[in-house]
Amino acid sequence: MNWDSLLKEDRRWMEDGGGADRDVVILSRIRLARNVVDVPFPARLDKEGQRALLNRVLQAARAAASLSASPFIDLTDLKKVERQFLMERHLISPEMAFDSAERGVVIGEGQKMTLMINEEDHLRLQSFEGGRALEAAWERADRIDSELGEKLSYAFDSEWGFCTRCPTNAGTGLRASCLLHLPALVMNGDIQKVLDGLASAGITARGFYGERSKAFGDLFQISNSTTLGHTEREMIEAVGRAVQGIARYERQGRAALSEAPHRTATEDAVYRSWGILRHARLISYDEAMLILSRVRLGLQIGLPLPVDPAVLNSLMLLTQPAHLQMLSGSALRIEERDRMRAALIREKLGKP
Amino acid sequence: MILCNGCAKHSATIYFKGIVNGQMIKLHLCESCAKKKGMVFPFAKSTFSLGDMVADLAKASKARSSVVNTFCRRCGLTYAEFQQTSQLGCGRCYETFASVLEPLLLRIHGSTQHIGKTQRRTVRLPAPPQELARLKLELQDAIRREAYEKAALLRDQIRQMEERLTRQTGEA
Repeated sequence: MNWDSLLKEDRRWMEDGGGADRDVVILSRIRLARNVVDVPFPARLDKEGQRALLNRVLQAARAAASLSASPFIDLTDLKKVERQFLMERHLISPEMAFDSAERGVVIGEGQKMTLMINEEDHLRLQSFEGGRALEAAWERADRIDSELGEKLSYAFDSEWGFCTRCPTNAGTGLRASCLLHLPALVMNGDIQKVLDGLASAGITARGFYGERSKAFGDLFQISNSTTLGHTEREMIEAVGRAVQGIARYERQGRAALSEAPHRTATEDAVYRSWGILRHARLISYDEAMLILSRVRLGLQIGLPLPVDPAVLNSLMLLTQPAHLQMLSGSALRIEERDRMRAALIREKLGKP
Repeated sequence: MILCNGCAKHSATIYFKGIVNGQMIKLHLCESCAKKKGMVFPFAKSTFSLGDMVADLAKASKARSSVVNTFCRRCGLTYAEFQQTSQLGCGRCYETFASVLEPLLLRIHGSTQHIGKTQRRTVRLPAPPQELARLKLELQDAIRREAYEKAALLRDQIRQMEERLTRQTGEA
């Protein structure tokens, strides 16, 4: 695996493409869950069974036009920190990073899609776009899913749809989600109210890395909560509508924060964070995510900070624990990491 | 207006369809009777525990005695394991545990009818052979006669046969 190129290529597509609402929506993601008919799900296979299934899916991927030349990474060949690195890039799930099952991932189309093999289900196909662009992400996932479906027979019930390990994913096997940056709603305290209002529309909010994870850096994942009984497009539209609504609230919140009587307090919070970014010598990951979020808010409300938003996005990726260790080429103790994180941030922002 | 099958007073707003104890059950209920029967609607509630739901359904369903000793012939998953983890073991489990899955899927998703993308290779099946057509006619007849136990059996037979067909075409 060429880690250098993966490290340097900091997902430029987060900035490119036609995604909407980029001031609020960082990323759109489509996930499809599929299983091969008549083979027990990964958790009920022994190592040989998992390996055989992995080879079978990989063979299908190699025969699919869109994936024939995409790099494949066998997770059993990787060190723990390398797996964590892939997780921090959202290329594999947390489950896949911290477990020793026979697993692999195909990374295709310029890191815009990944095919995880032997995750909770045999196949977990993910497709990404920058900004709010669920339709474009769905079209890619749909195309590749159909190509794979030509080569593999999926476990499918005519009434209940695609069979998945967890009944909460049955039917379409679809999770359509957007990663949202909501600093104003967190600061003005409206976030809980807004997120609570989603449930009645069949929409769920989760943390940065997915299910059961906490919300780092004011980042939230908004996704459909049910997978059966609606078409994929209906679900995608429902998530898209909810995201547009939340984005409106967030913008109202930002506008209010940038006016009297909140203006001074907001500027103070942003410039304090800016000061830490420019001058601190030790920064923990949690703190980095928080202050990067505040500075990003400062840019959104038009404060004249000498930094490109793309650099902030890139720092959100690069300051993660495994990224730092991959950059340094060795395992780092926590305090070494904090020192290196602070140094990396100062370097990326340019010397004061 | 359809009257509620529970109280026969209010107008029914909720339609429930499921297999209980091998019998197809169809109920028209008003909201308050549905609540009394412990039905939960996913859109009305933000959090739920899947484990509690599986346990609940097992208690509520008279199917318990028949399903409790069931295990999946493909992957060996027992009903007890399913109840404990709320996770299935393989695609075939969806048939094995159909009687508890049907109401569970309804509770989670508010629906039991997939209308999204279908498995391509299933769609491309050749016309079903005569035996399958005969079973389907029998099923329609059974439903007309309201012989739901028979209908459920036939439905399972049809499903198994369709799966076999899919597989045969699939390996070609």
